[in-house]
Amino acid sequence: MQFLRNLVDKQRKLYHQKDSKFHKVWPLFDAMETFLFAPDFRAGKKGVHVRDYVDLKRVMNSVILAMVPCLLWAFWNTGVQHFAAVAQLMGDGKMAAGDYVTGWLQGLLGAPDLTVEGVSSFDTIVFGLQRMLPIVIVSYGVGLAIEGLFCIIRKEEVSEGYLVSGMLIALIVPASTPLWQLAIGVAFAVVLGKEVFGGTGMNIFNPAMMVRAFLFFAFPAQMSGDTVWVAGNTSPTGVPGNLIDGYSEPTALALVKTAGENASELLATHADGMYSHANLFFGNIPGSAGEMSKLMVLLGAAVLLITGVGSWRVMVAGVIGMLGAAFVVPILADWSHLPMSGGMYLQPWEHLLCGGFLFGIVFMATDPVSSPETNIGKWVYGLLIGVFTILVRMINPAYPEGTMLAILLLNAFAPTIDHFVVSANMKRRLKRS
Amino acid sequence: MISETILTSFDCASLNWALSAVPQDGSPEEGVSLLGIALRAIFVENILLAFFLGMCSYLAICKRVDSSVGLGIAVIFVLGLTVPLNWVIQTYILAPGALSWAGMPNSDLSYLQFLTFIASIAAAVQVVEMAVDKFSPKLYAALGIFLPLIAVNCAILGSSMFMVERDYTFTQSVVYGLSSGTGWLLAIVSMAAIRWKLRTAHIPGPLKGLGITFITTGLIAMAFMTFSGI
Repeated sequence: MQFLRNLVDKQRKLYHQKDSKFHKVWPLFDAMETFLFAPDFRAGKKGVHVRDYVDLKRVMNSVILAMVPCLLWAFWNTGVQHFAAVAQLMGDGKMAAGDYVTGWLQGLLGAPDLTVEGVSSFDTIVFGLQRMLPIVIVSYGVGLAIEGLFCIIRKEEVSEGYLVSGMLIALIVPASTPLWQLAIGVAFAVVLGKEVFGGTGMNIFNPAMMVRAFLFFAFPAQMSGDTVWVAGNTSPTGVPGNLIDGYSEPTALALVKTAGENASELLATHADGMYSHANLFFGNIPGSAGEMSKLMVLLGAAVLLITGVGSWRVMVAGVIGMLGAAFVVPILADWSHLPMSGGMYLQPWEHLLCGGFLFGIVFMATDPVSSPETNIGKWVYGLLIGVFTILVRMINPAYPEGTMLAILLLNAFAPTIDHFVVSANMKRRLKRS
Repeated sequence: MISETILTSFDCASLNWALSAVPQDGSPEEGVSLLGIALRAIFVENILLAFFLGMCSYLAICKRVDSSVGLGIAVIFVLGLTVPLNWVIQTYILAPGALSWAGMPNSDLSYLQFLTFIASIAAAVQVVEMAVDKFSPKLYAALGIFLPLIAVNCAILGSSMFMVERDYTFTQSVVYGLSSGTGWLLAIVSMAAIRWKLRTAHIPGPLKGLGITFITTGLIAMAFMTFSGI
């Protein structure tokens, strides 16, 4: 480490002196330095001492740590789902083992052996890495490049905020997303969702959610539907993306959307128990990386809660709001004889297992920047996210899943919630005095 | 298409408590529940975020939450007043054949729609402003300054035009006017709170003020797409 320290200290004058060679790009130098070393203004010589140095870097690292279980599961399960789909197509006689197209990593490390029963764990992980790594790299690469550029222009330090967003983005897009679309989405969200508002800590909307919303509305064919949730190595003609040609399977919520009274039963029995409760919970299902395994999300939630980085109020309120709405809305609809939808026949706790709600409420809604700052505000915010998610799932025929839109909507109203909580507080105190 | 969806999803006889007030006079949208109209006007087709009407006063006033609440309430008030008023004018004077009560069954004055609506809105707002000033100075202090500002607002005229286009009945147009204003209030209040939060943000120079407001409005509109399709 001393070697690195010396190297960094030696380089500093190249960047930090007024007329030095690389003075213009000093934010990049600083970013590299804080990436390697902790800042050393830990405690003053006298006066107030900082006892627990929770800086942005540590907060962000805790979140990244919390996301690691989800990411590891995605490396594994992306491969599992891929080979399961391939095996199914081969079993149906729609595909021969010789037709299998290998990807870039499989080209380097050897093609999987499809002739044996069950593909080896190594091949599974190789496929997972093959799809997930480029997504992580593009998400970080494009986002950090834009962020660095903005920091150089504005002569500010690069902050750690994007390290979390970049990882979140990789976890909320399907593994089959074409990389150029992802790059456009990231560029849109970082420039228009974050940098124009003043960079880290000032954005109104969660940048990772903005990426997903942008892709969802700009490229709906690659972000929704029945074919995109299992990644492959081919792009069928005219369809961008890394898909398995000829494979199609509705997600749990899409299935429920079209179901009637038998929604719960259909979910449990569809395709030999593909969406059984155990599979939904442990994550043996297709989907975006983060929403697969609820167990991994709960592990992440535990990390966020123990380190105190994520707000427990938002999480608890969100779950209560969702369960409450899932319980009340069908009763209200039944009572007023409104047309019932499949989602209304699902048990409330099954709604919790389906789709990306748990991931959203744990990782996206707790974003301290785009959520309200007051404690009462956090309760209101979380509750409403749960309620709107259920409303979209149950009464909006256009989308099967509402987590993303509910969180975006409440992001827009978070400052309003704060305003009214604060002014109510002021009124109460004025009355008291 | 959205309108068809909303018709089918809310067009159910059982919402009688909301439906009972709808006069069954055989208009094309007969039986559309008032609740459906209200939800559609507030969320699905928010007059500001879906049609981008009423932008000028929205951009001018959305700096403070308190004043935008005031303006929003004024908009609700004026819309609730002028949309039904214009409904009366449209039905009994302007629409083709509307003058049959005066013995002119072949009349068609609908080409005067713009002029008449603008004039009637301005006149109504002026009269109300004077009346409020006279009878309730307190309300005038809260609302009064906003009234002339929104008399020439396109959201007000737009709502009247939509009312004509969608063949609302009188009750429906009252509900539509009020809820259209409520949607506008929601949008401007959320924008005002966001701008209050952004007052300390390091926004790039050229985008300060109106620029960032436009961008944020676009993003809020994207968030409101939650409801599209309902």
